[in-house]
Amino acid sequence: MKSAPTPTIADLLDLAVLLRRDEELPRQVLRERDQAIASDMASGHAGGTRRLFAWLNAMRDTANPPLPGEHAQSASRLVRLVLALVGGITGMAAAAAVLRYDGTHPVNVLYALALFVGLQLLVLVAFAAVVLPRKRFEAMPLVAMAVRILPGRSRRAIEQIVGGTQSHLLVFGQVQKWLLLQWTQVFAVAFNVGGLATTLALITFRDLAFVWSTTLQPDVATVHQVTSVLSWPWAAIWPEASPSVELIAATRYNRLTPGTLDPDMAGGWWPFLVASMVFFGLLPRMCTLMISRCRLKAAIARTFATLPGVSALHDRLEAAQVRTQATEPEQGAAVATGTSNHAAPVAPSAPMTLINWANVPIADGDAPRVVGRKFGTEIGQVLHAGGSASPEQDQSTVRSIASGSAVAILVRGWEPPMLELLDFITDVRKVIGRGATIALLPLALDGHAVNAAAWRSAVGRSGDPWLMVIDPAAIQEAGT
Amino acid sequence: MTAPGTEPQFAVVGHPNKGKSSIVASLAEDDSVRIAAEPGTTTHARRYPMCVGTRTLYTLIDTPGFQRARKALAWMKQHETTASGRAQIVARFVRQHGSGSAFPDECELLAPIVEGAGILYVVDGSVPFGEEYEPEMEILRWTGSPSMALINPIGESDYVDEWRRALEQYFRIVRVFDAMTAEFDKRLDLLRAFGQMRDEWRGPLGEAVEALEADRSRRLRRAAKAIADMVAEMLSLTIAEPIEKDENIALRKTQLLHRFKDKLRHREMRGREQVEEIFSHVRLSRREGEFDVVDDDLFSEGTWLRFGLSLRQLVLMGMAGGAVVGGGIDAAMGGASLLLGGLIGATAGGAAAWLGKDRIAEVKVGPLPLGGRELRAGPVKNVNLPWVVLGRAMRHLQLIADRSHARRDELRMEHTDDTNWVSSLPVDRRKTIERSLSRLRRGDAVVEELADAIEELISPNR
Repeated sequence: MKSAPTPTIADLLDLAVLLRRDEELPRQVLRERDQAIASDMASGHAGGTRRLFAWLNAMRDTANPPLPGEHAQSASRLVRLVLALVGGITGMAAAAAVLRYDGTHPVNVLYALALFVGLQLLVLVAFAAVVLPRKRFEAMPLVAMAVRILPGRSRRAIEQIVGGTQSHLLVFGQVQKWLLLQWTQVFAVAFNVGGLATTLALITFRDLAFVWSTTLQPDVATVHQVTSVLSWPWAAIWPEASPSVELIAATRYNRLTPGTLDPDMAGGWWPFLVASMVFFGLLPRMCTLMISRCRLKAAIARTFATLPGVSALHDRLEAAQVRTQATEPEQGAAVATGTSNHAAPVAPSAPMTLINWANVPIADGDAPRVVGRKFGTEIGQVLHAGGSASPEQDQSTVRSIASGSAVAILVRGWEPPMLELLDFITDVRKVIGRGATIALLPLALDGHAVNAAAWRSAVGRSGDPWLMVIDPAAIQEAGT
Repeated sequence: MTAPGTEPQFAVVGHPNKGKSSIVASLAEDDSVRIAAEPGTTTHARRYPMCVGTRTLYTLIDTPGFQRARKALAWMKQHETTASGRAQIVARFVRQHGSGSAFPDECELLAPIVEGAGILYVVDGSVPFGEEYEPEMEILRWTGSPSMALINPIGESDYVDEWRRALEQYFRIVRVFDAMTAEFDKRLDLLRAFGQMRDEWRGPLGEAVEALEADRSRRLRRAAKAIADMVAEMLSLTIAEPIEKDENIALRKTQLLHRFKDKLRHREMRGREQVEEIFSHVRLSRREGEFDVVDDDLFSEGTWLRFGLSLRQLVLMGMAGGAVVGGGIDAAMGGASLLLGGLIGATAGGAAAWLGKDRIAEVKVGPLPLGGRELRAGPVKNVNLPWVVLGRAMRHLQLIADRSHARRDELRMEHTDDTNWVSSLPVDRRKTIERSLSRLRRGDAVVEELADAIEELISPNR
């Protein structure tokens, strides 16, 4: 399997923006969206970062509003370009300033060494101090300067990377640190390149004269020792770039006894100066630039994998691997709740017919007593239907009911109303005609409540205005 | 995907309102299943394939209940020729009738069985057996398909033995399965039993059980990681608002602190949602603006007493931190301080921890990176808050991990006793967690370490 791609600033920003947008979406929407994306993913996307990339690429096509990543990446490139230009120009100006020679006062090589070697070594030590502990990089003024000269859109993109507030730092702290360090090293490399180029140009096209001069008055031997130590990196490959004792002695400048500068020796410091600028200026800066770039890549990769919301995203994508849920929505509308004819029973004028549906466990003698008391009437006959009876036996029962009779049907209240019973009631209605009462009496069982709502709802849906459900409590009362 | 219909299929059938859909919801971990007290809620067969990647290992089919079993059986008996032809009669019944006929529910539930699905016949073990069940059991026997009866005790009463005696006359395997309370292990047991219905189903169901076990371990790990992430984010949370020069700083500080606490509450809620998501409880979320998880506020006194460190534990932990600092001073003075540095440090540390018990975070004024000033709240310095958050998260996880997807009630984070959660942890686990929390507070990236410790609490026998 190919190694996972390395995320860029653009990828990091886009992922952060998408995850921030996801916080506003309902979980069901996220789940369905990501399950669809996961099912489209090739099976090779097993690793975390690869899976994130696959998700990110799938989301980029449909992101609305468009994602800022590419623009931020372009803005970052623009900042680097600006810093490189500024650094180069500053380096050139600095070199031109310290190496200015109008033919009267020779160039004090110590000035050039102090700027292009000494100062840079100090800044290098500061770089090392910032790199090692995990602290926020304080080189903001340089970046603020670069950001201010950019156009508005680029500035806003940089603010998204840098973070306008401290709250960003805890998530993007390391990325910001290494990004800012990278930018400063771009400036530093450009500064050294500009300085070196200008130095070489001046050395080539002008006749520079170098001396060394300091109030501290070290002897020639001490200076030679110092320059020998500094020349160690290139002594083997470029021996001429290591100043000799004679050169040092001949180019010492004293304002009280200026003397005459040997023209053959006057330019002798240039190899040492150029070598110092390369080995103590440019090369270390190129190394720190490479270090910053590598650490930035690592910080982006780490933050990419650990952004807030990534864990939840992985959960949703992983959940799609083992699935047990339905893949299609539930068909059909939910059962409509009918309103029942829960009216008070009307006392019929003739004896009622009582039907025990599905052999409700009540003695035949008890049922007429309960029902009769409830309706204030006699029970004419007790019939049976449903349960183990066949459909033909049910029809025979129906035929034995007199036209116009009121009918009470005793049912198992703890069971749901079935269509088979409603079919039977329709058949009874055809025999007894319109206007005659059919009362359903759902009986409870010890420890079992009647599902009164289901019975009332079924009766309501039937559309029969003379069909009613008797309140189970009323049946209980009548039975006592 | 594997070609549909080649994997084992199981049609869940029975009388209306006996918990068929609840059993499917529980086994399929799908809380989108329409479940209601109203019978006839399921009107069409719905499939729940169990897939690992692109392979379907088995499919559950939820069906509408029998409504006219006696008449359907009467039709079949009318057309019966010999006992050996009964399965064909049932298939003919389904072909001849359809959705527009008098038997739409019977056709819907018998169609998958005619195509080879196994039968899972569901009854309610809390109501007595009745003769009206026999026609539907007879029809199912006529299909000749492998079958299992599930006794689902919905109510309080117990008629399980009565049902078992009746069902064993029609079904080779009879099991009791409570859809509302069955934990993960019981669901796996049932799936293994499905594999016993036919020899060629043993392999796929065995593979499915293994995949579900592995998935369960992954979910527990993901949940532990989600909780660790949540704790880490809450510990590192800072919020900031830019301020102008002439603003009332004290008022803004109070407002910012309120916002900070709300952010913590919100993060906790998101963490819970993530855990619910991991265990496929997608619909256990806000409904019409109200929370479906009933629990005390994160910052209530009861919550902190139940889940936080005791005063003694707080002081001891604060003292330990102070003693380390004081000990450092003693070492620097070459012991000349006579170890007073350690004692003073310990006392100061303990006092600070006790006094800081009710302070969640500090609010300070600081500079903006690109100019201006801002008010910053956080990060959390309170040593008790991560324990409270962790305790609540563990309790929530415990309830969610085994909650049946058939349940439609709200999740109540009720506490059966007042035992302090931290005190109930084994000492070594408590110390491991405290180490991880201390390192998190210092800003070390030890989320994985904390997740490992949480996973140890969840699955101690792994």
